[in-house]
Amino acid sequence: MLPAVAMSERTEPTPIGSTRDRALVVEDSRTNKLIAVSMLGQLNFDVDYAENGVLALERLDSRPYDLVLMDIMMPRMDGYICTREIRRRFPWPRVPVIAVTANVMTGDRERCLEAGADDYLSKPYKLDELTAAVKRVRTSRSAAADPASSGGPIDTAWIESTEVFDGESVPALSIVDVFRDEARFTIEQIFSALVVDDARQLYRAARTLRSAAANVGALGLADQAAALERCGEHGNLDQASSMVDMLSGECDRVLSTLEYLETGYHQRAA
Amino acid sequence: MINEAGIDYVTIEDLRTLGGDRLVAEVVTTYLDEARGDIDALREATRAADPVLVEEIAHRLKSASAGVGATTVASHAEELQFLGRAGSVSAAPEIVRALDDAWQQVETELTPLARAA
Repeated sequence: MLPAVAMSERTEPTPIGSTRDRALVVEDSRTNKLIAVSMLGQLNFDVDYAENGVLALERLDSRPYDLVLMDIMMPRMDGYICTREIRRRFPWPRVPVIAVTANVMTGDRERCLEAGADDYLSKPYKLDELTAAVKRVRTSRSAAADPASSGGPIDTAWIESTEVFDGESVPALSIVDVFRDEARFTIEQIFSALVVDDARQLYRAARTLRSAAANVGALGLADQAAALERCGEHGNLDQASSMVDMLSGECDRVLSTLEYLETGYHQRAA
Repeated sequence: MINEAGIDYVTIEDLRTLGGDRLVAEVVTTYLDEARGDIDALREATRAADPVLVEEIAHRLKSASAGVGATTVASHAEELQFLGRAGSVSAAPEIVRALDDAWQQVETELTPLARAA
């Protein structure tokens, strides 16, 4: 039985500022938190901290994270439940979760992966073990195609025509952050529309996503969103269910490509 | 490299490599404070015969102790954790006494490191 945690209101998009990645450490021991924070600092993460699963979900609701380091045995809400809730409530972008446990029990690893974690460490772990785990969960995500090649998720004509990645000044609000936020919100809406069988909500969310995709030249994603929009319009929710995994995968590709382009932009601006 | 106070100095040296004497001092200071509180809380929970609380606190103490290489404290904490999980804490007071003894030594041994910053 999952605790009833109300969806809090959405917060404003994260302002651009730091290009460092941000990690969330979920851990009830202050000693181990300090060690984890210091290791993640070495790996160039900015780190936030939550001492239990309930607080972790609040943190994740308030801003995107690039990594979650999740202690499994915690009071109030354990790491298994918390990881499941993360997957249910924040389906996209899929934040990498590394589960950590101090128990050496057979089956721990499987239980963590089954709950939705991407990797597993047993405590106490060393810096190189954490480094390897972070690398593993990242390589699964960073398979971004060369954005300049044809058939990439972003239209090359759009990249050429836009000033966004080439302008003289840093954009006030990163287009990547705006896209990430809109995509995240609309995909959550799409998933929940399918759970509660709400064709109207599906239609509205897919339409918003189509327009967000078109704004960043993600023509393939825009087509897929348009197809979902039609499903919503005609009440074909079964057909829509079969399409959402592909859609969130395409969203990953679009976001990785935008991040890649933006990194290049920051490097040129520096 | 485990000494008679049950401290595994390999773990301490790993921390030093990670963040120098300053990190060692910071982690040890935090640990001494956290563990002291957890041991007091364990004593209370044992007296109140509350296995759920015993398991929860003992797990945290075990995991923090392992983090700083306090191996004997960690293993007594683990025994308490298992008792708590099994739902019977009648044997707990005896383990808490052993834990207290181990803790005295750890505290004596680690306190100088907390001042090294």
